[in-house]
Amino acid sequence: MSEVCLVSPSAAGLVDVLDRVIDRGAVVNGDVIITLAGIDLIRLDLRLLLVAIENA
Amino acid sequence: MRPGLCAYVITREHMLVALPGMRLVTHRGLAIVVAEVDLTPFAELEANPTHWTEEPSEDDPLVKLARRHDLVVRSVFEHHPVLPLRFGTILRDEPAALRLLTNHHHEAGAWLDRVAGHREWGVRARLAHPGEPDTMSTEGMSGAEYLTMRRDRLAAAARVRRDGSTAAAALDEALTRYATETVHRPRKPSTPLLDAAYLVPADAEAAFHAETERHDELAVEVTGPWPPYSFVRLKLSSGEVAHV
Repeated sequence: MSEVCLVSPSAAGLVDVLDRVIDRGAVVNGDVIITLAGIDLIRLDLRLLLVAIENA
Repeated sequence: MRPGLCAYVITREHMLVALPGMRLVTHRGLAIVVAEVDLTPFAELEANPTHWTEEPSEDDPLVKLARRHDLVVRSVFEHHPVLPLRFGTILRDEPAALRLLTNHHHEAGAWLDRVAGHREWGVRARLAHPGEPDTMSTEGMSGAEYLTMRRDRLAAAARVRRDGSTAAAALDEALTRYATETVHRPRKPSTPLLDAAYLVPADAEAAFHAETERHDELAVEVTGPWPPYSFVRLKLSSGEVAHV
């Protein structure tokens, strides 16, 4: 028997949640509002942020 | 309050949306789940990665928004196949949501067919026994003895790594057999031997989980079930030029 631990995403796995929610999922182009102060910038930087967290 | 329309998932048209404030914009059997949200918290997110030197906490504004996004996706995923949209997808208005569905009806429908009856599971594997740190005293050793000891230890460490990689590859191969699709995270020096997501049909889940327990030399961490986040490779468009 190997050591298996089952992590409930609701209780743990915060980085896993961020990774999936921020970095995956279909990207919508078009009239997504990117005029708003930095929404699109935020999205780009969030991916950098994820790299920073994972390497911490 | 700066109102905006936050979009979460595309799914099959249905009667109930589990969470308050959510509604469906529908088109020919498909639906996009949206909610009016205040955009202020999105605009106020700390976007500078240098501020993120520590593990994120549940109190962080980004984490709260991301958790909410995940919660909405999951609440739909509980009963229906979903095509998750990326966090922070803010549409101009309902007509934009409708255009999105109209433009991508075929693509989105095919995707939902493909993931129906599946759940995503994340698997990470590391060596169960990565080896003891180098603590043996070198006092009183001759130069030749020291070099021999060093060489033996390096060889042993290399052997452990090689065996670990072989075991991880075997685990991955076995798990892939139960999965409709597999995605590997890019390997970096510090990452586990295996870091992958598997899209597993419901009737293969038991066998899939049994397999994760069959590899003694590995410490295996399983996360899930997840909505099929890791398998989306779609770029959608509501068909208008972005307002930059």
